[in-house]
Order: sequence, then structure tokens, then C-alpha cells
Amino acid sequence: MDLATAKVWAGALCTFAIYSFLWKENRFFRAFQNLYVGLAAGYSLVVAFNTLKRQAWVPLAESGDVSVVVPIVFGILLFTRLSKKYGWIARYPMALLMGIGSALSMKAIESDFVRQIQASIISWKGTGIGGTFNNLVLSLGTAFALVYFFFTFKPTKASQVTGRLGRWVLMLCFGAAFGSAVQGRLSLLISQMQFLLRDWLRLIS
Amino acid sequence: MNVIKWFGTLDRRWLYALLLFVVVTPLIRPLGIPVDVTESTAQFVEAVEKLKPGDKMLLVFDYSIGGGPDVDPQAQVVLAHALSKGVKVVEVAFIDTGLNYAQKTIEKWEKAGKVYGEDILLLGYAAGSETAISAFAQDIAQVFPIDIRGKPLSSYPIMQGIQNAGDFDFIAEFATGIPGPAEWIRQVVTRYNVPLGCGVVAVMGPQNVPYLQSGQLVGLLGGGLKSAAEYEIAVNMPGAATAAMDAQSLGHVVIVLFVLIGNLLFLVERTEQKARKG
Amino acid sequence: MKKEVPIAIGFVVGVLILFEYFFKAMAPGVSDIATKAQNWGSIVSAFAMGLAAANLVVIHGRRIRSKHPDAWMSWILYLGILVMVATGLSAQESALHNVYSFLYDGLYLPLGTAMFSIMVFFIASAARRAFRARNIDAMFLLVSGLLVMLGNAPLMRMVSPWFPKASAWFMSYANVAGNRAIMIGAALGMVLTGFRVIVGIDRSYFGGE
Repeated sequence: MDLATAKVWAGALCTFAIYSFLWKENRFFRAFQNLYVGLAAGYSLVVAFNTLKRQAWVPLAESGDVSVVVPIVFGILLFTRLSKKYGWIARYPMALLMGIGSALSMKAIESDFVRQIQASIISWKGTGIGGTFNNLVLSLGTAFALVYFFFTFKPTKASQVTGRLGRWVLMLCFGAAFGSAVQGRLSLLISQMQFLLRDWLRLIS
Repeated sequence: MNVIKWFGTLDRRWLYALLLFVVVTPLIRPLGIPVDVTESTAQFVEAVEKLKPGDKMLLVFDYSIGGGPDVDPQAQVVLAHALSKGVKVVEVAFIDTGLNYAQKTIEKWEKAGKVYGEDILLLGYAAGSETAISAFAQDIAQVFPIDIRGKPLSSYPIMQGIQNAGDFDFIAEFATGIPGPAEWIRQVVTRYNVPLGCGVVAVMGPQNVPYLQSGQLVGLLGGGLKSAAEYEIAVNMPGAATAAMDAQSLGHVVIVLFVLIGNLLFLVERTEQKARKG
Repeated sequence: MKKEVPIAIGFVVGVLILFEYFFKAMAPGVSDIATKAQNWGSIVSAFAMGLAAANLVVIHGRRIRSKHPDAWMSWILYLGILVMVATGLSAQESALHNVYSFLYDGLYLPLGTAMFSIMVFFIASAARRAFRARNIDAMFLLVSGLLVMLGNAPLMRMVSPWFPKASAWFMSYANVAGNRAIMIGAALGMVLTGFRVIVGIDRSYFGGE
């Protein structure tokens, strides 16, 4: 049996092991589930090792860039998290990651706040009644949904009405998300069936 | 009435079997249902179509195994389209499993005659999600001093003139979660104003439409496998995604039927409850 | 040492990156330092991947030591880690690398895709019971969800061209309005949370005093 065939047969076995859960929870499924977690952890270790070799070791050993010693030391300190006594030392590298991550995420003020508000400020007048209605949905819908999120002041009659309209807008949006979620999950099933029918059973080309 | 009640008590495994049947049957006996190309897909196709031979595209594999079947066909067809136009493609991953998908495309296109380092290149994977993207965007050689094959980036013709993310003519990012379009827009588009097109799993599609409407994305493949099928049809390269569309259609219809019957059942139960109380 | 130093580290790198972003034109040299700091962050994150795996090993080690009835599963998990690492670090041309390729394409990949693909069965089953128009809010959700699903099915275009049009309308207008509001709110939240972390008010990453 060549490598490609072995991969296909193993893949089919794995698929049946996981799908056996649909019948009922069983040990066969759980064994493969644990194998999956183990393989995933092993894979991420391999990738992490290769990444460190490229991103830290090569600059240090080949280019003489001693500054990478700092993240290497910080990275090693992360493992103190596993100790109860010295776990606090891991706060140093965590602080580095959190400081960078927090600052970078604050750039959302431009991409997700200013730009999105700008995009909502549109002329209500569209092409025909339909266009005007769509523009109203877009701009007022955003405004009403935002009103629904206001919790810091005492609600007035107007804010209650607009907040309710905003909640409906959010419901329509969640409905669209649900419809799309179904589509995505269905695609995974189809892809798995294509694998079984094409690569394993060779029923389709 | 009784049929609806019977459906409500039917063992869930029968529903599973029915769903499996409607998905498998059209894969074996295709129905050939035509697929329309939606506007957001057409915009993506147009953005790639605008690229000239020799232009440089960054292709980002930010997808995991769980969403791979939904997004990988998108990345495959966009890559094939770009290479067919003579566009040079640099690949990178910010999710570990994305690296494996990228490696497979390199093997595939090298076999098809593309030259590694001239037409196509794989930088590798960098950890840290948004942090790594930001560092990469500002200085590629610092995050990737060498490529996946261990050579300095400056030794490859494809990397001549490329120092940061702003030096690419187009970025195509394919994502199943974080990092995704939001992170790339925050760290790359806002700073370098480089055209960005994204392909995402269907679950993430709706939440990224505002970026398309605001012009921060030039194209969005937001429907997972269906968007891949639309792209394949638009560029006349039918593949696995197009073949899956019949099954996608029937699967959807069956789930919609389940929802509708479930609601009928709910109405029946409520009417009976009211009658008992009244 | 336990509190002040981590807060100072977070503050310095946070302010550095924000300063570089907003005032890079005033101090060009600061860009190089900020990029270096972010590259450091990426390197530390690669170590964090190792920590995640180490944590998994520790937790399952406890399960094995406690002679839990399911301890045999932890051994399977260990086996998965061990063979993947041993073969994954082998040279590209070696026979062991073929084993790695088999483990990835023959086991890891199909297990992952199969695991996520079974969710659609649960969605189908839940569709019968959970997705009901119990009130007006749920009705809006239901109508939008059903129309998007039907619009996503190419078959429905043959029934009526209205289905894909309705789906496109929900996606382009109602969906954009709702998601944009969420985005605007989340952006404010990110800025505030980021600020709290940088100045040391939010120390949740300390993980207990």
C-alpha cells in the first residue's frame, strides 16, 4: 500500500470514528477525539519549534542579532506559569504580550469606529422609493441598534421605541448569521462526503 | 396534524440519515443547478483581474482545519486565477495549520511549472496573530529573515522591492476566525491603504459585509464554499466547489423544511395547550 | 516585583506602539523600535504555543496519576503528541517525514474536518425544536435566517428569482446596520479595555494574586 492510499484509508477510518458519535457516544469516538487533540498539540509544537528556529535562532546565530535574547528569555519565563511558587514570573512576558496586543487593538478606533460611522453617514435620498428605504435602513438601522446598546442613562419613551427597533435590526442580523452558519457547516459535511466518495470509494471523479 | 406530531417525536437519527441522503445523492448524480455570481464575489474577481503580469500579490492562509473545507477552495481558485494572469504570489500564514495548506499549493504549482522564488514563494508561519501581522506589515524581513526553505528573502527575485505590506499590489486573505479581515484592516489597510480582498467561512461572512460597504475591503468571498463556486464560475475554472453546489442547495432546503415543520408543530402544541386551558 | 514591573512593561510597550502609530512622522526612529517590540511579541507567542502543549501534558499527567477510569485516553493523547513531534522534526527527505505526512493528512486533517462537519447534523436536529417563532423578536430572526438560507441555495433561484434577491437585501442592509452597530460598540470596548490594560487597571492576565 503506497502512502497516498494509506492516507485515504486512514482518513476514512477517522471519519467513521467521528461520525459514530451520531449514533451514540462511544469509546471508539473518544479514543479518536483524544488522538486528534494529541496530534493538534504535537503539530503546534513542531510549527512553534520551526518558527522559533527561523525567527529567533537564525538572527542570533547567523546575523549576530543579540536583541532576540530578550524575547527568548521572556518566552522561557512563560513556562513558570506551570509552577505554583514561581507562576508570578510569567506575568512579565504576559505583560509584554498584553501591552502590545492592547495597543494594537486600540487602532480599532480608526478602522471600526470612525470609518464605520463615516460609512453610515449617507444621503437618505436613493434611487426611487426602494433606494431611499434601503438607505434609511442602513443609517437609521445602525443608529437604532446603537441606541439599544445604551445602558448608562435612564431610558426615555423615545429611546425605548428606537431601542426596540434597534433590537429588531439586530435580530435580522443574527438571523443572517444563523443562515450563514448553516451554510458553512453544510459545506464541511459536503466536503467530507466528497472525500469519501471521490478518494475512498472512487464513485465520483 | 398527526404527521406533524409524528415528526416531532421522530428519532433524531432519522433526520441525520435524511440529511446525509440529500447531500450524498446529488454528489453521485449531479443535477446541474446553475449558480449566480453575487456582487461581492464579482468585485473580488475584478480586483484580481485588474492586476497586471508581474504585479505582486500576498496570499494569506489564516485558516484552520475546522473551516478549511469552506475556505480552501476559495484560496485555491484565487491563486490559480492570479497565477494564470502572470501575477507573482507570496504566501504566508498566521495560523499554524494554514502553513500546511500553503505548503501543498507550493508543491502543486511547482509541479505545474511555476518557479519557486520567481513566480511563487512561501515565507512561513509567524505566531502572535495580530501582533505578528503588524510586525510583518512594517518589516517583513524581521519576522521572516528566511523563507520556509531556509534562504534569505533577498535571494529571491520575487521579493525584490518588497519590504513591507504596502509594497504588495494586492492582498488576498483567507480566514476562519482570528486573525481575519478585522485584524488585517486594522494593521495593514488603515496604515498602507493596500487593496485587500478577503475570503472567509460562511459563518463570518455577514459580520464582514460592513467592511466591504465602507470600502475597506475591495472584495469579499463571504459565503464559504458557495463563494468559491461563484469565483470558479466567474473565471471559468470549475472545481470541487462548483460540484458541491447541488448538495448545498438540497441540504439547505431540507434544513429549512425541518425549521418550518418545527414551527408548525409549535403552533399545534400551543393551540392544544390553549384549548386545554380554555 | 510581582505587580509593578509587569505593569511597567505593559505600559512602556503599549505607549510605544500607540505613540508610533499616532506620531511616527514626528519621531521616525521610533518605528524601528516599535516594530522590534512587536517582533518580540511574535517570538514570545511562539513559546506560548509550547506552553499550551505543556499545560495539556500536565493536566493529562494528573489524570493518569489519579488512576481515572479514562486514563487510557490520556495515553492516546500522549501518543499523538509524541509521534507528531518525533516525526515532524525529522528532515524533509527522511522516511520519518513520510510518517509525519501520513499523520497529518491521514489522521489529523480528516479527524478535524469530520469533527466540525458533524455539527450540521445537530443544527438539523435542533432546527426542529429550537428555531421557533415564539415572539416577535424570534420571528424577525427566523424570517431573516430562512430567507438567507433559501437565498444561499442555488436551487431556489429556479423556484423564484426573489429568493436570492431577498437574501442579498438582508445581507447588504439589515445585516450591515446591525453588524456595524456591534462593530462600533466593540471598537469603543476595545479602546477602553486596551487603555485599562496599558495603565494597569485591568490586571486579569496576572492570573490570581
